[in-house]
Amino acid sequence: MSNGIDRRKFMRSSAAAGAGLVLANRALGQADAKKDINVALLGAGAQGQVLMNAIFKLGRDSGIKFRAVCDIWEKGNLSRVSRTLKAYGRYGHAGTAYVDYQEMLEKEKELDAVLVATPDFWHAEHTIACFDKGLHVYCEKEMSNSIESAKNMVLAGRKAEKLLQIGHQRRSNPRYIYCHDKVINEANLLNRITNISGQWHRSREACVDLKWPNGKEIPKETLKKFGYDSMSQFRNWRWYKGLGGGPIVDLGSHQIDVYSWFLDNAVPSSVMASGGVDYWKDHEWYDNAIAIFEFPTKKGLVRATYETLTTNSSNGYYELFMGDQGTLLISESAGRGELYRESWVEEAKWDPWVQKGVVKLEKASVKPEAKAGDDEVDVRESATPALYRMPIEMKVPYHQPHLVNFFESIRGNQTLNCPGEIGYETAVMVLKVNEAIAAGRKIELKPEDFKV
Amino acid sequence: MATVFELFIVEEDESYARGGAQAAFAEVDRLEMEMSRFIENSDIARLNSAFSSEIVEVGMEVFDCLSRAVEMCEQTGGAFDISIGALYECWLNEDKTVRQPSEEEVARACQLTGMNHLKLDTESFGVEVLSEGLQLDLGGIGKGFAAEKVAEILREWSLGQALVLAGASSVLSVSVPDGMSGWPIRLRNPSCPSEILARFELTKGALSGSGRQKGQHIIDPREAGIGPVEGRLAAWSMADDAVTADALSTAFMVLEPAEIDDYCLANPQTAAIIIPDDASGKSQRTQAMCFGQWRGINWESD
Repeated sequence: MSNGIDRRKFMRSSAAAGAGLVLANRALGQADAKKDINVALLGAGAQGQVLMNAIFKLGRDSGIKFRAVCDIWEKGNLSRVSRTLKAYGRYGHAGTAYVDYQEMLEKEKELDAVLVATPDFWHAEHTIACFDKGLHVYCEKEMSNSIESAKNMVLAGRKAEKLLQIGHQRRSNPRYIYCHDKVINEANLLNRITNISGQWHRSREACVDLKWPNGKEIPKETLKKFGYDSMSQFRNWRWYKGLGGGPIVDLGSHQIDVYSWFLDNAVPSSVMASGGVDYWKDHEWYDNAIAIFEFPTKKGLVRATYETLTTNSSNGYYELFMGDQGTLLISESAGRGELYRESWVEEAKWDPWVQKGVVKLEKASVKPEAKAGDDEVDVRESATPALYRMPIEMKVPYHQPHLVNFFESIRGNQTLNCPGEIGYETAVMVLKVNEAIAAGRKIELKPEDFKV
Repeated sequence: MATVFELFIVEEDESYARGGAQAAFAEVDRLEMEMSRFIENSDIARLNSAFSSEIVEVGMEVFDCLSRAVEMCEQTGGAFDISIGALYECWLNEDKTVRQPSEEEVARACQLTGMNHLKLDTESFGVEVLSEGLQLDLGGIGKGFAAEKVAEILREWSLGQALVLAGASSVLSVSVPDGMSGWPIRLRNPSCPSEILARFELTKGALSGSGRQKGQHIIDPREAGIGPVEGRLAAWSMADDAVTADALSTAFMVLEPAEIDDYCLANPQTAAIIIPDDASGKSQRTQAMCFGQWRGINWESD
């Protein structure tokens, strides 16, 4: 491609601006000078399949080639994904299937990178084994179910001088990047952020234990070899201590990561939390949890609450940033993003940002106007805050930009949006929530607790 | 799809049946994320916002569904056409009441209707959008497609003695339970719900119904310029698979009776019932017209 250099330059600037990511993906599809990256999928469950499908949708010229897939559920996800990869054979993908990850890493000599989407308690071992083979790693969150293991992952990556991207995909979502770069930092529309709240409420129906088709069980000895007591525990590992971290880790982690990111990667000085196994039977991790963090920032203290439920879906999931001049509601969920100006803040203060196209005014504040000469006070409902929107859409699969950021970082065109060090900070934040619930007290945190 | 899926499963182990149903519903949710035109990063939304000549790489399922939609468009002479979205936006408000578009709007919407604006690359899963502004709407086929995927999962779980209900309007018999001769089905007259039009047993294949509420209108994609008409009250179709049945009931809302007759003769596994235009009050059961396998059947009376 004759304009290869320009395109690379464009890729770099679009990574910084975020808004250009959609275009960048289009550019990817047209590239013919892309260095191929050979990848393997390690963990072919629901999340692994989400990553695979997001990569397929980059198109046949993306240069990303699946060489192999590994999963211990041979008759389930492994055969399903292997079949799918073979169906995409004309894209250059191969679906060689492995049950044992060591065998895969031994036999697949052409790999450049591995996508790790296994249960949390396997992440460290899998990631470190990949680094030992000189491969780059995209590892799903939660980075690990233990702080110690998460730290070892970062150290191993540094030693191998390979990239470690942690799967907090909002970090590469153009809508989130826009809010961070434009709304909060450039326009400073919220002004001093004092509080954050957020939630992920999931309906009871979406949290029922997963089952499996008769006759497709994993053999007992395989389950045991890979750390599971039973097929049911394998299917529902997120609920078990030693395997996963429960909903605060599965769901909360994504959003608490955004809290920190939008506060310029601030880390909390304390966490207190309450939670319990109050509803679901035979689960070990807390089925609901409410946490309070204190984030010291340059502008002052930010107090943040977070709540996750597994019995009720009221209001879904979102993060709400509250400043003394405005409020930002953002969610990964398609199209959910709102910005409110506090009614005491003059419209003229935000107007320049509307003129520049940074935000769009959707509904002006309805404010009673005092007329000159009136000798009576007109009492009515209080003014509603003005509603603004961010003029940006997410037009690709949710995980795609984060994967592109990983691949382009391997190619040297971008830098990681969520390197292991950042993933580690988030892992500490959420794992400390579980610790605070167990201890029944506020846990103080020091900046060095977040350093590797 | 934005609809409620229900399953009837015959199985001794209730908890196992629930497990299979849960897996099936999860697949429906996943398909919704790919196929809904209201979700901004779904494959369909991506196609609907593509620029001219853009190749959109879609998932395997959406590619399959689009391929089936092309087939059904050809088979029905354009009476079933998923590119009808632009016409709907032009002629109808969200509540399906009629709006008055300008001549330019109508011309543009007509221009954007037709499956020739879409090029499916069978060598990959790429879909080329030839005209910017194309508005695909899988409303007449997505439910049937999802019902077939649900049936696949139930078979994988050995839960084949099942009936899939996609909304109230599409049913698919995965297989008939042991000891039953078929799934009991009832069709009501929409303008007079107490009147049963037909009762029969569905053994294999699928049945789908389309209709319109009072005041609602329909658009014939073949007569794009004419715009919305009150038209036919309801149509039902039966076919070997849910995708065909779903698309046919939509097509049978606008095809002429002679055309429906021809279709059912050419495709022996199909059948149809239509209730003609409802210009003067309530339609009578005697006005219902039957085609294909249902032709000449004397439906058992109430």
